[in-house]
This record gives sequence, structure tokens and C-alpha cells, in this order.
Amino acid sequence: MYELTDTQRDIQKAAREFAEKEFDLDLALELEKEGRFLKSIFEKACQLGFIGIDYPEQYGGQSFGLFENVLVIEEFTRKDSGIGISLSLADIASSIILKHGDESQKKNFLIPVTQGRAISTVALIDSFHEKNQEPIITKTEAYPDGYVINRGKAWVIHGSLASIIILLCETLNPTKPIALIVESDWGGVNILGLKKMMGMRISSIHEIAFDKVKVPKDHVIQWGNAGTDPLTTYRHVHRIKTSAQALGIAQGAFDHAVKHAKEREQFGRKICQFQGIQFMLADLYTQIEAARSLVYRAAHQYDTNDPDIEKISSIAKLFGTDVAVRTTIDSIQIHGGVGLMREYSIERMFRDAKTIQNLEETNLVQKALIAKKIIS
Amino acid sequence: MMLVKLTEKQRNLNEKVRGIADKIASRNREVDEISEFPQDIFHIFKENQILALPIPEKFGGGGADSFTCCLVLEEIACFSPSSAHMIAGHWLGFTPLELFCNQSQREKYFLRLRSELAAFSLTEPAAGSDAGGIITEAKRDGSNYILNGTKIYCTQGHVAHVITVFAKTAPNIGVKGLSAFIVEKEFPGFSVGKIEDQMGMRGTPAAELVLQDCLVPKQNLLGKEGDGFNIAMQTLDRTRPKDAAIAVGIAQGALDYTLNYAKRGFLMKEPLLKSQGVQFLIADIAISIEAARLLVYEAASLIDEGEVSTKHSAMAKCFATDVAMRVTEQAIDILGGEGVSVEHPVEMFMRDAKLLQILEGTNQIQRLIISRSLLN
Repeated sequence: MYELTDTQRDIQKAAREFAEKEFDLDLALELEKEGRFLKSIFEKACQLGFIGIDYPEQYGGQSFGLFENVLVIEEFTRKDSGIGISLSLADIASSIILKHGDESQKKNFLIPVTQGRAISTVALIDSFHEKNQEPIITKTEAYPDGYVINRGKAWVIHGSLASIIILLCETLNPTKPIALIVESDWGGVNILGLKKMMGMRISSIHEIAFDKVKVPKDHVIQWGNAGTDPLTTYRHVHRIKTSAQALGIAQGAFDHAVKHAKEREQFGRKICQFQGIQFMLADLYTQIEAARSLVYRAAHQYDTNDPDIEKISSIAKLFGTDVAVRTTIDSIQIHGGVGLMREYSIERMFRDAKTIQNLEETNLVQKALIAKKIIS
Repeated sequence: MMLVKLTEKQRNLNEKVRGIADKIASRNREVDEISEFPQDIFHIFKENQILALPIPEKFGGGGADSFTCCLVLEEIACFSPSSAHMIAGHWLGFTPLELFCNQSQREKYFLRLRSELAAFSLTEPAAGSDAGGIITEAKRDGSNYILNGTKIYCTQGHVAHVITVFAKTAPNIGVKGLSAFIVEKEFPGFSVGKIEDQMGMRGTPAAELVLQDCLVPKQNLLGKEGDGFNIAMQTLDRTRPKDAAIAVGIAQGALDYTLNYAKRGFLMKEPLLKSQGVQFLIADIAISIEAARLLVYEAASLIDEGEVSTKHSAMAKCFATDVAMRVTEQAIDILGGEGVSVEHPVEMFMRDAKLLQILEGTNQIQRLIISRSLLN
């Protein structure tokens, strides 16, 4: 079923070559230490068409689907988890615009991204725990059919860099949820502190506060022709992209483990000749192949508008990230002491894997969602 | 009836240690950030006679048995794993001296080690799991041995005063040619090389030790020439339960923190602790911690009863450190995005746990030891 086409193989190869050439280990270590995203790599990835590969040509893309995007992400994080993740997260708002945006929104908010001029992100405002405060969003008289974001805070990926922020809030309009495009230079958009995490440090997460931000009608995203709401679309795509990041990290950590096991000698032979190591490698390989099938299938189902996407996207994220964490842990183990040291990639891959496993919807949430679908 | 009952003395000691550890824990993050040996914490341990616990009473030490030492390490690790590792590293350095010093060596070093740091140095680039790969040489020259070679991954070797160093006194006969030497940091030809930037236990970094015509008086040979491997193995039989005790402490600390924090958390809009998935996870965590603890107690008790069991020490080390890794990982899964944030200690505990699966014999080596003892 998932025999890649020649074109897909070419995309995969191009992404691999780009990553091999641009994602230098010393550079990655420096970026991670400083918690810094490298704009120039992003711009190059845009020039070569990796960013926006799934946008239609008229919006600066290559008219491929999420499937091809997943192939690129996998190759990127396989070479370097930190840089790969940061690139894959540089346009997370696009899935919403692609599916729900109108013509002018697509033009205005997709094209600048593909040109390397803008990074787009998503602010998820969780209003569940609040008690009786003024509503987050209300209609405004300033703009006809526009809204005002009265207040709200969110942890936002690439929060200090993104110029396009899509605000999603579950309670905006419970029957017909919408999304609001906010531009970061508008009044009332305030970037607050950095959330420091164990991994994913090249993609910094900042808190953004919204204070009386007025959103004109042309920045309001309706459902469009899609059968789902913008938040759900975002969730599906983000799960699948996360699973692709995880798949690449797992494959990368596995590559390192195999290489090390074939080089390292102890007790007079290569450690790959010990069955204890062989069985670890066999288990990991099995898991990675299974994860790959799931991730590819989920992306394919998204591209074909399969109604089962809710479940398969959760399954891919759950399994994919679990495999990444397990593979990176075992890869460190196979490396022994060397695997623990920051100057190599393995421990960073583990920290990145554990971080993407737990950001936004955790795997406990995925299990609850999968179960809900199964028994409904 | 409880299988293991602590004596009043042990309970009092535990309480005292808990008070100290609780205070020390406030330094955890800072120490983790800068990865520097915390001299202030070392002084606290020195002043409270924790450093000297296993040193015989007639040398002014605490005369504590292995079981008591394990209790103390567990208690400290519950709050500050890296600080527990500092103590364990010292005791690991002291153990070969405890077992093999002659009378004059005892008198020279035991008093000192109440307040000066000890370390243990076996590993070399080509000799990780396989001590037979050691190439550091010790040549007899009159009343001295001259040591040449490079040792790596010596826990806190850069700040230790007295280090048990393993070197070859006879070539071509593998581990039978190994001897152990008491090396002081002031000895001519001794210097510290690279200090590692490791993923966990960052308060007690591993150091490279460079021996360049290092002059060691012949009185500092521990045991006889060729005793080295036996000294190392007998030492590790006694120290592995201590690593295991730290692992139990880490797991317990992670569970305690998680239970407390999870009270505030939510899963799918329900209180986190009301989720049966979380409840079952917590139950599994508690089961594995208790099982690991009992295995540690058993291995330590066997040592104290004069029935040192290589197998039990290996089982305790392997099981408890695997438990610590799994439990800290699961704790993060429960805490979700907060779990991977550096604002909470659990991600640090997990990074600390990973080291324990590798040091003092990787868990693959432990499995080898266990199966060998079952099959022979």
C-alpha cells in the first residue's frame, strides 16, 4: 500500500540531502545551548520548497499533500531532532488556513511563509478552568463581523518569532467554532516569558498574552467547505506531524545505535555480535517499521479525507512518540557512557522525543480519545 | 508483618538525612544548569558525618553497614539524586580501601576519607564493560610505580583527593594483569583532563584522569599485583546495591512529586487523579518501587551478613535502575507538558536515572552476570 512513488522518493532524497548538508552537529549544539532558531536554515528550506510542500502552487507551494510533508519531516528529524522539529513547527497554522481559509487568507498567510518571510503558529487558549470572567472573545463594533479578543494567555511554539498567530479557543463558538488570525505586531499582543523545557530548545515556547486585540472580518476563519472545525483540523495535522517528527528521531537514534554497535569492540568482538544487543536492535527495528506504517497511513488518510482520521491521528501520535522515546533510551543504552554526553546527538534526541511526546495533547489524552472512538 | 523493620537508630538517621536532603534540594536546578560539583553540599555532608558513615568507628567514622548506607542514599536521592550520587561516588572510592587496605594504609587513609573525597577509576576509552581492555600501565621502578595512561568517566574524579586507579602491571594476561593503586591528586604526573557535560547527575560530572609518568609509592599498591580485577569486582558487588538504592529514591521522589502535583491536573476536563488510567499507572509505579526497594534491602542485608551475592547485587542494580527510568518517564507522562518543563524536578530525575542504567556495569552486563550465575 505504501510503496512510495518515484516522486515521493525524490522528495525524500532531496530532504535527506538538504539535512545532511545543512544540519551540522556543532551548529545544532550551539543553537540548543542558546535556545535559538536559525532563520537562515528556515529560509533555505523555503527556497527549496520543503516548507509549504503541501500548499497549492498558487500559494507558493508544490501542491503535494501531508504525506509528502511527513516524508520531509521524517528526514529532517532523522538527521537532527532539534533543527528538524523547529522547521517542522515553523508553519503550524497553515493546516487551518489550507483547509478553512478563504482565497485572500490563503494568499496573505501562506505565501509569505513559503518565501521565508513569515513563521506561523497557533495559540490554544484553554478556557476550561476559568470561573465566571468576562468572555475571551466578543463581537466588536469596531469592525463589522469582526471580533475582539478581550483577554487570554497561551504557550506558543515559536512565539517570539511568529508573525502569524492563529488563535483557537474551544469556547469561541461551541456550535460552530471559528479561528482568528492575529498578526504579532498588532496592539495588545504581548510576548511574555520563555517556557524552558528539557528538550525542543531550538524551538522556543513563549507565553503570549492577548489584551483587547481587535480582529477584522477578513482575519476570521470560518469552517469553509470542510466538514470539521479549525481546531479539529489543527489537532489532526499536528498529531500526524508530531508522529513524523518522532518517527524521524527514532530512525536517527536507531541509525546511531547500529553504527556504534558495529564499531565498538568489547570482549574481543564488535558489540553487535552479542545477541543481547542484537535482540534490542531487532525489537527497535520492528517498532520503528510499525510506527512508520502508522504514520504514513495517517498522513494518507488525512490527504484522502478519510472519516477515520480522528482515531488514526491519535494512534499515530501515541505509538510514534512512544517508539521514539523507547528507541532513544535504548540507543543511549547501546552507546553506554558516550551516549550520555551532550556533545553527541543521542541524549538530545531523547530529550526532544520525550518533550514532543508530552506537549499539547499527552499520550494519556490520546488513549482516552482512541478509547472514546472505539466504544462510541 | 513487615519483612524489614528499621531500628530506632536507622529511623533517627533517616529523619536527620531527610532534613538535610530537603534543604539541599533547593540547589538542584542551579547545580543541574551549571554542572558543577557543589562544594557547599559536600561540606554539609562532611559536617554531618554522612561522608564518613561506612568508615569504621575506630577511625572516627559512623561504622554503618551496607543496609544503613542504602537507606541514607535512598533518602537523599528522593530529594536530590545528584547529591546522593556524590556520596555514593565517595563510598565507591572508599570500598576497595575498606576491603583491601593493610594496616598502615588504613591508618593513612581512613581518617582522611572522613572529610576528603574519594573516587574509583576503572574505565578507559577501550575498556568500558570489558575491564580486560585496560591499557594504562604501572611499571615498578625502585620504591615507586610509574603509571601511564588515560582513564575516563571517573565520577567526580576532578575534585577527589584519593582515587583507586586500576592499571596493568602485567601485559597480555587480560584482567589477571590488573592491579589497584591508591592515587592522591597531588602525586606528580597526575592531572585532570576533560570534564564531561553529561545528561544527568550533573552535580557529579565524570572526569578524565591523565596519568603521565605518575609516581605512586609502592606502599600504595592495594593488595598484591594482579589483585586488581578481584578488587574491582568485590567492590562492585558491594556498591551496586547502593546505586540501586539511589534509583529507588529517585523513583520514590518522582512518585511523591507527581501525586502532589497531579492533584491540580486535569485529563479530558476531569481531575487527573480521577482518571482510572492514571490511577492504574500510579499503582504500577508503586508496585515496582516497592519491589525494587525490597530487592535492594535483600542485596544489602546479604552483604551485611557476610554472604555477599554477586547475583543479588546485580539483580538489585538492574531492576531498580530500570524501575527508576520507567517510573520517572511515567511520572512525566502523567504530568504532561508540565512534566517536561524545567520548572518541575521530574525531568531532571529522569535524566539522573538514565546514568544509573549505565554506570558501574551497564544493565546488559548485570543481566550477563545474573544469567551466568544461574547457568553455571
